[in-house]
Amino acid sequence: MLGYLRLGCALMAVCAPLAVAQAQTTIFREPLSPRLANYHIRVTLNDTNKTIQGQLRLTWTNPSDDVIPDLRFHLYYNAFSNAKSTFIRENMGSAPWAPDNGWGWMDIRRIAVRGRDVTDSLRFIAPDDGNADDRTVAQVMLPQPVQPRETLEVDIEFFAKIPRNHVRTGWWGEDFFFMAQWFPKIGVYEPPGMRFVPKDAPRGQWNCHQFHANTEFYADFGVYDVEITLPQKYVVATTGIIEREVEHADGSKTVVAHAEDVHDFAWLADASVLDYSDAWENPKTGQRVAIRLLLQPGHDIAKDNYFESAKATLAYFDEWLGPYAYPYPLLTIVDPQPGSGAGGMEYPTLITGMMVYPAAVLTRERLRMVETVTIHELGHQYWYGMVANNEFEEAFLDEGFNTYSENRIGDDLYGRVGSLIDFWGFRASLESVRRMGYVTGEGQRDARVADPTFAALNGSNFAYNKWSLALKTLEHYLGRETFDRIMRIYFQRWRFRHPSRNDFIAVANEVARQDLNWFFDSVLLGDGVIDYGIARVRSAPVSLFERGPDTTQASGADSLEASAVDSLSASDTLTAVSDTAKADTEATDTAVAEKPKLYYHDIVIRRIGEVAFPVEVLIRFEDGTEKRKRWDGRSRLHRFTFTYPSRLDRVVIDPDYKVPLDVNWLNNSWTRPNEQFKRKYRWKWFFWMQSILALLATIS
Amino acid sequence: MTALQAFLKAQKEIWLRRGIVGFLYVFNVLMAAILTLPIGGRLDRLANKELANHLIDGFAVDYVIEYFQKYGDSFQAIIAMLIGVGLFYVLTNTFLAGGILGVLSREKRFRLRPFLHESANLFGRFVRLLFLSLVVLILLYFVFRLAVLSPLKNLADSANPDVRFQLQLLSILLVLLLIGFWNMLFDYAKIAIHSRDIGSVFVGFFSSMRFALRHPLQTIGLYFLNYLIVAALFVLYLVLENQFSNTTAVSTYGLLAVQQLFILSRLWMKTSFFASQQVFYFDRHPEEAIQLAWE
Repeated sequence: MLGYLRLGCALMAVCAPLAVAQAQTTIFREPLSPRLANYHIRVTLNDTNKTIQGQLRLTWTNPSDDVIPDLRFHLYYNAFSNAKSTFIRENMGSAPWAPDNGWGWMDIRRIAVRGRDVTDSLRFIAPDDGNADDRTVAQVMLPQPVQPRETLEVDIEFFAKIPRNHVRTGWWGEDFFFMAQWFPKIGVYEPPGMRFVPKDAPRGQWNCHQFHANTEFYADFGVYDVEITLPQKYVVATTGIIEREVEHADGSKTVVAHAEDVHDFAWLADASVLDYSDAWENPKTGQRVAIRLLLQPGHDIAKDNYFESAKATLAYFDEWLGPYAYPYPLLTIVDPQPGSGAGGMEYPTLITGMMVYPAAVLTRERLRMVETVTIHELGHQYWYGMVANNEFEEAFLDEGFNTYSENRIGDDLYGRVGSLIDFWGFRASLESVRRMGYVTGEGQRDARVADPTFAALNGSNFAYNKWSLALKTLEHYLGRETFDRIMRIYFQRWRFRHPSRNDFIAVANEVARQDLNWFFDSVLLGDGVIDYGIARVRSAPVSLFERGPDTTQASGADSLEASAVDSLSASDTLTAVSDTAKADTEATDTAVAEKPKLYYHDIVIRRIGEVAFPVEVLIRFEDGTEKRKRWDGRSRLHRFTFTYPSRLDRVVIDPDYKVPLDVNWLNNSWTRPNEQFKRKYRWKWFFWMQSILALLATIS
Repeated sequence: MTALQAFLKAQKEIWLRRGIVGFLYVFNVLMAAILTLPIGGRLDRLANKELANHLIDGFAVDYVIEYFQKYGDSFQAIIAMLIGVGLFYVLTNTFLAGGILGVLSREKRFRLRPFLHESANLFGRFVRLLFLSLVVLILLYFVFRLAVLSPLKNLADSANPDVRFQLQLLSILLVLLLIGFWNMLFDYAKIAIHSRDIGSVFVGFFSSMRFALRHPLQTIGLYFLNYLIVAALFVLYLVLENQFSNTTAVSTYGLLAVQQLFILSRLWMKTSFFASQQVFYFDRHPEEAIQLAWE
């Protein structure tokens, strides 16, 4: 159990944000993280000019044995400062705010280290692409370098113009501010041995990437004390907990917030939002997590969906990854203003949901946008919030893990088919949507999941879709019990730290007690795909088959697949031949007494993709008998032959859909033609055509 | 004569000439069959896949991703075909509109020869009227957007989501009403052109405008009475459709029977629009009514 303390006053402050001044809160008795980057920020919001002015004291500890001559800071708002920033350039040059007052920027007015002004040494660097017009990373040369393990104080005065809301930060309308990446934020110094810095490297390095079109964030854990001064009309929600709000005579107020063991701090100021509270309690451990929901007026229909899905997700992760998996006392959910573009985003202890109003009303609970977005963003508290990978470089480590979690929780809560949509006969599961993204996405073979996300062509598709499907495939391969042990140990070992893919692979190999590198090498580090298909199916009475191939009775395999064997090159020889099972012989022996007609079945399956993966093959006969055969999937072709007193009904590779990474399920099966299918869809189409024509005729 | 009386009288007249609906139905079936032919091959290709077994119970995206990826392009050919057949269908229905009006006003029973004769007689004018109607629709929409939809949108943007949603629904409803009003005007234009044998479609259009503005409540009431019955039929169809599992041959054919009844009822209502408005028009302009030989 974690040694942490949640003082009563903290929860009181949570439940009653307007409570008067309290003593400063301590959330955790023992730090959960190394707390390398601690911020005390005072910021004032000017909601008319849409600017903020702030003073920040950063207390930063050098985590290495290196002497570090400089500091590096992210100034994310500068991505929106001009049309030449790397962010805008990578977005095909499109700046959504260009015609309006939507640009944003951040200006460091003064920076002092150890009390000494070093503002003059500040310069902008572009470590990723050398773009001289990009001002999202600032470097400060220090008059005296940081000594190993030294803790130093950095004081920064900054001024920022808030951009119109884009990529979930900025203002919207007259009275909505979603503030993320709004302060100068120090990069991560990675010592030798951390992530991809070799253990024997002479020294560590700063990891402080520019803001790119396809990336998110990476920062060290710490404690945040933030004082936000703004007009009293605003309801405020923040990362962490709100300790107190103090009203001033000039119509403003100061909101004092506190967060521990987080690596980012976001806040909301919305004048019209409604404030609701609920809580999740774990009956086994007695843990209680308060849930605060900031809901837009008129969105009441979604209130229960937000709360219930959040509670179910907290419970699921607790059961899955271990007790107190979510250790914080409060979870804040923001339902952002429609059109603000702030929906569907994660920050430590604060997430934004998404409600598509007309769809939510019209479909009621049949289109589960509110629920699934809540599950996804809440899942990020674990994969990103606590297991804090570098999202610039390995976004799959949070997005992929989290999408896998979302799919799994969605299946569990709402059913496998239709977990996302189940509306008027149209059903889609969360996983199917991810799979659609992967198999229909371009460049399946042009990139690798492991490619740095900020530079990858197919970054988000691979991070969300391919890797979540890869984890599902691995779960099926290892079995859920083993896979869950891997996930639990990985989570517990790496929470409040910064893992890389190698750390996950190491845990997987260790816990599974087998070398899984073949899987990771091909799926994570390789650019090949998994694709198996039926190459040929023949099924005919033995007497006919014995007369020669010309007289065999083709059983209906379509000609394309039937010819696939012939089109293979000489090197693609049939490497595994004839799999006549004992059961077949037994079945035949029994049948011989009744002199049944015997059939000879010849099935050839084929590995089309570059990646070899074990698959199961279902062979079903017309008498209902089923056989399941396992194939290691390594050779290009594999043949099964049977003699059996019944005709073949179907052959299905991966009948239980255990390999969602297979890029083409269409070629995985051969069955006897399904007449009802043809009947149903032919007449359905016919009626649709009649209806369309009748509709068109209304104008004539 | 009230709108309801006109509507009821029209139903009797259609019943006497129900061959019109039959003819329209046969034509609809033929055209839909042409559009269904290319689908057969595609269904055959899918029918021996495991996917087919899954799609019996419903349309789950999980199993059709690859299908659309692999064969999605071929649907473009079907869509092109649909556009072509659709245009032909609209033109043919424009042609048949003259026949419908002619048979309803001049014939005691449906007979093919006079039906086609009247159709041919009015086709040129009705096609010109169709083009004019499209131009008017575009103009009407722009005016309507400027005068009604934009202010509503501005209002919606500053409202809370509940009100915004209601205003969006109201906008959709208003657009539907606008289309209905426009359609009604051109129905009366056809009636006027036919009954007075007007050569100019502009004269026909302005004549119908004048008529509609002189009797706004009755004309609009009659039109939307037909409109409401179509909507009610649609809802009834949806309710009935839900009763069929469509997983067995019996349920598929049962559903098909219901679908055909629905299409028949839609075509009946198409005729009803013309018939009831013509009844009402002749009630207000008895001098233009053709004295039927059998009356």
